[in-house]
Amino acid sequence: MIRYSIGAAAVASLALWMAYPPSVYASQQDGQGAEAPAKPAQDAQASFDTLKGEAEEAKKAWQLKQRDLSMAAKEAGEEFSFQPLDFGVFRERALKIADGAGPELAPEILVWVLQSDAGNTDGATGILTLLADKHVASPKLSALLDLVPYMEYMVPDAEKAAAILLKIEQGTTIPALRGHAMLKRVDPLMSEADRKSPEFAKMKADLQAAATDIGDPDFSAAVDTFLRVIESYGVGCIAPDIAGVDLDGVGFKLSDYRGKVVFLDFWGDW
Amino acid sequence: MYPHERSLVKEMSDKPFALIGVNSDELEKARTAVKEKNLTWRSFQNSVEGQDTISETWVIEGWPTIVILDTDGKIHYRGHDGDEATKVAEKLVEAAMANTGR
Repeated sequence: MIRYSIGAAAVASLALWMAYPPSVYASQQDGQGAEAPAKPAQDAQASFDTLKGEAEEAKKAWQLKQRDLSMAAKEAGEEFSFQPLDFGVFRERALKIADGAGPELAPEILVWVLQSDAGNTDGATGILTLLADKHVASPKLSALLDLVPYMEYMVPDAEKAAAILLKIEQGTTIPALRGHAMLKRVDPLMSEADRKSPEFAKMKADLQAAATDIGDPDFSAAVDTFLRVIESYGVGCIAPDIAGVDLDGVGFKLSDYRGKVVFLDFWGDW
Repeated sequence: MYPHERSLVKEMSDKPFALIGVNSDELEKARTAVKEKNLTWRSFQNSVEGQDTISETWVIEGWPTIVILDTDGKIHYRGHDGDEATKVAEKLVEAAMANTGR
């Protein structure tokens, strides 16, 4: 379900990452660095590098095995379905390393688990909760820019997803991530009362300011679309007219039906 | 969904109500569906060459989506729940009939 796109958002996140290098955050280290100097952090980095290497090997072996199995099944004329890679062992080890790692490395490890084990929704919920609770200000969260649009697939529990998004929105140091979290958290199908509330007016101003700050056309387009749904096509709006053609090619308009209650049904035959 | 829509259209036939579709299939497929499944309501073609599709303009992100408009064209419901949409529509039809004294 989850797709990774290397688009403008990724480029923007990279640019942001470079604009806010990790060294900026070094001063935020919470005393651990002073108590236990360089060595444990280096150990954690080394353990993480080893783990990444092993996971990469396991992934390659898994790919080869799936290929062999699928070819064997094809020859035997049998159905074949891919078995997902069991990432559980790597996940456990990664979480342990992250536990002992400093505030720079820990979020990087958590993000890596999230990206490597994306189909595991229970796991993703746990990782995102950890990131939002403990590492929300980390620049490593820029990796979430590409993932936040797929929040409902990673965290199917809507309440948990909203809580995570709110924490990210309030705590992140990355403007684009704050904007995306805000966009994702708010349901564009809000009631007429909500649309007329001061909270919505403030959110609209915030989103537009964020779009200007971020300067990412993808994000600006997402904000425009979001506001268009609420302000033109949402509950309480007078529906803009539709002038189109019917299935026989004869032109007609939605406004032909003023004076009647209209049940407008976006349908397809599946 | 079709049986529900068919019975709704029938039930509302002498009332100020219209079911309008916006169909996102290939034209031939849509025509076949209308014929074979005896669909009695009129539908817009979602995509017409050289124009934005209606579903893009309306930012429709899931199918089916139902939008309920009152007699002035004001949106009262937008979502995926056919039963809820029908309830909203029935209330509006009642109100419209009370207004015109029918």
